Amino acid sequence: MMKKILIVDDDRAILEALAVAIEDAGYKVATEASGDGVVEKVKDFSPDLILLDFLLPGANGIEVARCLKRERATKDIPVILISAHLGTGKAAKELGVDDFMAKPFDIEKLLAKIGKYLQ
Amino acid sequence: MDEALRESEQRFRAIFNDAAIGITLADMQGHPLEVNAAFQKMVGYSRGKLRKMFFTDFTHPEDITLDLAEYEQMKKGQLDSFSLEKRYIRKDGQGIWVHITVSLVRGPKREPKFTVGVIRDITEHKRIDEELKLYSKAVEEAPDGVQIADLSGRIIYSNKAVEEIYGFSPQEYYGKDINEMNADPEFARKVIFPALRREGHWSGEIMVKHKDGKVFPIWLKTAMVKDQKGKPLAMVGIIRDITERKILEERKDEFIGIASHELKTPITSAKIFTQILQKLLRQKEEKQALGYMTRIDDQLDKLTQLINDLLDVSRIQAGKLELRPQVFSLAKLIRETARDIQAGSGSHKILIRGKVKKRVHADKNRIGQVLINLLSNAIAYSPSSRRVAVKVEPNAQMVTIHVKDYGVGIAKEHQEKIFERFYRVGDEKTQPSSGLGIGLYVANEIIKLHEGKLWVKSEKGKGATFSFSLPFGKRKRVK
Repeated sequence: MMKKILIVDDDRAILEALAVAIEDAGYKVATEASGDGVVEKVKDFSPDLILLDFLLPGANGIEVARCLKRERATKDIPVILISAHLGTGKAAKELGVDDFMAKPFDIEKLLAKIGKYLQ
Repeated sequence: MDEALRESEQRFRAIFNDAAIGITLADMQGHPLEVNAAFQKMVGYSRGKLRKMFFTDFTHPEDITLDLAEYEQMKKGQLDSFSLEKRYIRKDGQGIWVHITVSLVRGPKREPKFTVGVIRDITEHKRIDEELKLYSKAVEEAPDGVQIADLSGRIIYSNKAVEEIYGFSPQEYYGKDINEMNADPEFARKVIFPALRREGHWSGEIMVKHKDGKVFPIWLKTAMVKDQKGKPLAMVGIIRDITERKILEERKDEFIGIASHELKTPITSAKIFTQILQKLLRQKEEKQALGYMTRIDDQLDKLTQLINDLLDVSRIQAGKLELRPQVFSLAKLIRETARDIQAGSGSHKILIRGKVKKRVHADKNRIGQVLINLLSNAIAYSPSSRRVAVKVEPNAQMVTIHVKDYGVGIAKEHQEKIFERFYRVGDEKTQPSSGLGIGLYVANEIIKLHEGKLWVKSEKGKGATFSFSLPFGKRKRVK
């Protein structure tokens, strides 16, 4: 079965670009632009991995991640934080996400990372 | 009897004549009868001339009436002496300040007979006095805070600006321990006072307390006041409230943070689309188009690097550049970085000599950034050469990396300054590429944060060698 990836970012162009590249790599993709909608979306779509932007309107990426990691049903879904703030890099683990990718990134590197979690 | 009288007379005449102070004897009309040498010298008129004059003749016109009332009283025998300060005009036209004491000499029937004047030239005193008044007024009104403390740290002077800055009145200040104003008294005890004793001065930003309890930042420039022999007398501090400046700086840093985030967002999507296109073109074997696409991708990376450099400068200035140390193999990092740079360059070969087995405890990304900077500079500034040499030299405590190019070199006058922020070598002929002039500044700051050193050896036209030392760090491990 096709693995499912939820992409959360408030920038439409990034959402679109990521969706194309990740679908092309053989995944099923859903997108979400606001922090508040993520939990609902995760319930409906039940993704195998989440790409989460750091700064989101509504609840920010960190709050969203914390929320997901608290729930029994969603706590095992790998979350990769994608952020243009370099400083959030080291703290990925402390922030309660599984991994971190600084924007802008090489899509191949991101796909490799995704692959690592979805083996 | 006659002999004794003559001797006494002589003695008094000697006192009168040789006294260092002006002495006059005048009739009750203000007519000098006797004047001593000191007085003649003071006003510049000879004894003969003075005898034909009145005191009013060489008194400053504005001061003639100053002692009129006293003089009239004295004439009537109602006053025995008075003194005052007034101005004389010397024979040469120069004005002088004098202090005069006039005493009445009475006749046998107690009738006023003569006046004796004792006159001191106080021009120099007056000048010094005026000067001191001006200095103290200037310090009092100075737009920056000025504070003086004795050697035990008790405040003995605060000007108006200090009052405005801290909210205390100078009276409330007087005698207070200067450290009571500091939000962090330990810092003053451990850093400022020792520096003052050792070097005689200290300056920097500190946090202080307002009368209302609010803590705010000031810029303090302080120095030891010493006497001519170098013995410390007091401490003086110049104080400037930098609350506003700090807010502006924070706002600027925040702005740079937001701006770089905003700039990176479109780069992120552009880069993804570029890479999607690259993949498509590779599948269709459109080699030329693929080449162009790769160029766009490289340029996007450069743009990202510029934004990150700007962010770094802003962080360094705000003192917020933090290291994230980890244990890693420096040898491997050098190899990988050299390989990446060489692949991107195409023109130069990077040769690595020397080995370091011991792993370092440092910020891998930041050290990588320094290597990238030095290697790409080496290539950019040696356009007609084909190689760059890297030498690795470890010792017990640290490892030193030398990056040598065979290019245009750096003139002596630029060598110190190239590590300064925004400094660019302003020589069009040898300036092959543009840049913000922050790469080496950031590299130097990164190495300094690692307690290492970055330096350059070069001669114009003969290439340059940039070297940096990097201590192995706390967690030493032998691989």
